[in-house]
Amino acid sequence: MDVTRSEFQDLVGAYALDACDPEEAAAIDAYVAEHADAAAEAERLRDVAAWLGAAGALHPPVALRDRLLAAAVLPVEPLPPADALRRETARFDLLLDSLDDHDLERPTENGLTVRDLVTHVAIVDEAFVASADDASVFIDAASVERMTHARLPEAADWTFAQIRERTRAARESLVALEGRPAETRVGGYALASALVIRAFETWTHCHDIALATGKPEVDVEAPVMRTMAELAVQTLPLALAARGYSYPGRTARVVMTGPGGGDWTISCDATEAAGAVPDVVLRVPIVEFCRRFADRLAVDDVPFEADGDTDLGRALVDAAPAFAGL
Amino acid sequence: MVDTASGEWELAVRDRLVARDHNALSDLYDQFGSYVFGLAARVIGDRHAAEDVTQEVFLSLWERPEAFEPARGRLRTFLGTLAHRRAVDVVRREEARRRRAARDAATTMPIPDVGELAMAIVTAEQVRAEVNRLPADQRAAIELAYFGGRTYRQVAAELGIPEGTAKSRMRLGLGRIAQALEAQGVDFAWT
Repeated sequence: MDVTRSEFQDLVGAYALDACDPEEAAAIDAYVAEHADAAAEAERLRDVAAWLGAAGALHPPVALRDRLLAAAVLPVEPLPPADALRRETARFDLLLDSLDDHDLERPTENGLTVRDLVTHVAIVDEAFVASADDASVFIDAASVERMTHARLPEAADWTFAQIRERTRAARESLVALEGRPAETRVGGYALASALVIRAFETWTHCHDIALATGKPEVDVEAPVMRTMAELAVQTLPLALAARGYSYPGRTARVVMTGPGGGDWTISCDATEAAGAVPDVVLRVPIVEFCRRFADRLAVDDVPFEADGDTDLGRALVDAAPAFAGL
Repeated sequence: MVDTASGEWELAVRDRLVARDHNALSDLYDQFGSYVFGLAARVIGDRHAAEDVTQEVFLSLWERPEAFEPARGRLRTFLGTLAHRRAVDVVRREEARRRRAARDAATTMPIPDVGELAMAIVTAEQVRAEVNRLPADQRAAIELAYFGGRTYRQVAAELGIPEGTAKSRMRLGLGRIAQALEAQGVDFAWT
C-alpha cells in the first residue's frame, strides 16, 4: 500500500498513537523513511504521545531489574569441541576430588551409584575412542546402557583411585582425537559432535553427582554452555522426528537466556531449510534447556515460554531428550 | 539521577550499548524503567504482562542499539514507541482482553514513582494539563487509542463517529498539545 501526502496527513495522528491497521502503519513507516519533513511531523506527534504515558511512571518490581540484566547476556562464542571437553573434565575432576568414601555409594539420578557413574564415564569414553577407526559402530542410548551394564562388574573390586586413573586415561585418549582429520567418525558421529557429546555427558554427570552428594560444583563456564547449546539446538529437528512429531514447513526461533545463551532460528523439519519468519519463538533458560536435553528435567519443570505456535514450542521442549541416554 | 536533558547522554549511552557495556543497560533501565513499565502497565492493565513488555523493550535495545538513531528522535520517544507498540499488541490479543477483565475486577492501585526525574515530572504534568485542556471529543479519541489500545476504526465505532473524524481528532489533538507546549517554551522533545 502506497500513501499520498494527504493520506499521510490523514493518518499521522492515529499513527503516532499506534492506532492504525498494520498495513497502514507499514505504509506510513515507508513514507516517513522517504520524506524528512513527514518524519519530523510524525516524530513531533510521537514525542507528545510518549509524554502521555510519562505521567504514570511506576516503579517496576525490583526483581525485574535483575531479570533483565540476567537476560541481557554478553554473547559468547562456542569453543573448539576439545576445549569444551577439557574444561568440563577439569570441573568434573574438581568435584571428584571433594568426594569421600561415603559419597561413592550414594545413588544418583540415573540409578547408578556415584562410584559406578564415574566408571560409566570411562567405559563410554573408551567405546568412543575404540570406534574412531570403525565406521560401522554407532553408539546410541541403548548401546551405552548395554556396554555400561556389561562392563561395570569388571571394576567391582577396584579402588576409587584405580577407577579415576582409568577415567583419566580414557578421557586423555578421547581428547587426543582432536588431532584426527575433521571428517573422522567417532561413535557414528562427526568428530566435533562426538567431543561435545562427551562434554555434555560430563556436565550432566557432574550435576548428578553434586545432587547425590550435596557437594558443590564449580560454575560451568559460559562458552562451554554455549558450545553444548549449539549441539542441542542442531539436534532438535531430528529429535522432533524421533519423538513422532511432524512439523513440515515450520520454523522456530530458539532464544536461550543466561550465560552462554543465544538466539537460533531452525527448521522444524530436518529435510528443510529454516524460513524467514518463525512460527514460534521459544524462550528458555539455557541451563534448564540443556538439563531437559539430558533428560534430567520433566517438560513441566522447564520454565519455557512459547510465543506463536505454542504446541510446536512445547513439542520442541518435549522432544529435546530424544537421544539422551544413561 | 542522571541528567538526560542533554542529547549527549543519549549518544554516549548508545555508544556504550553498541560497545556491549552491560552497565549502560542498567543506567538506561534506571533512567527509563519506571517510564516504560508505567506506560505498559497503564495500557495493558496487567502488571505481569507489563513486566514482560518492559523486559522486551530494554532487551531489544540491548540486542540492537543501532535501531535507535539519535538524529531521528529522542530516546524517551524511541523507548515509549517500542513499549506502546508492544503493549498494544498484547492488548489486541484475545488473551490480554481476558487479563483486562481481571484487572477491572482488581482493586489494587499502582504506586506512583516519586523517583522519576523532576524535570520529567514537570513536563509530564504540563502534557497532562494540555490533555485536560483539549476539547472533550479530541481527548476521548486520544485516550481511547493510546491507553485503551484501540485502533482508530474501533475508536470511531465506540464513539459513534465516522472513521475520518476519529483520525482527525487524534491528529488535531496531538498537534494542539505540541503547539501549546512549544508556545510555552517547553522543549518537550528534548526533556
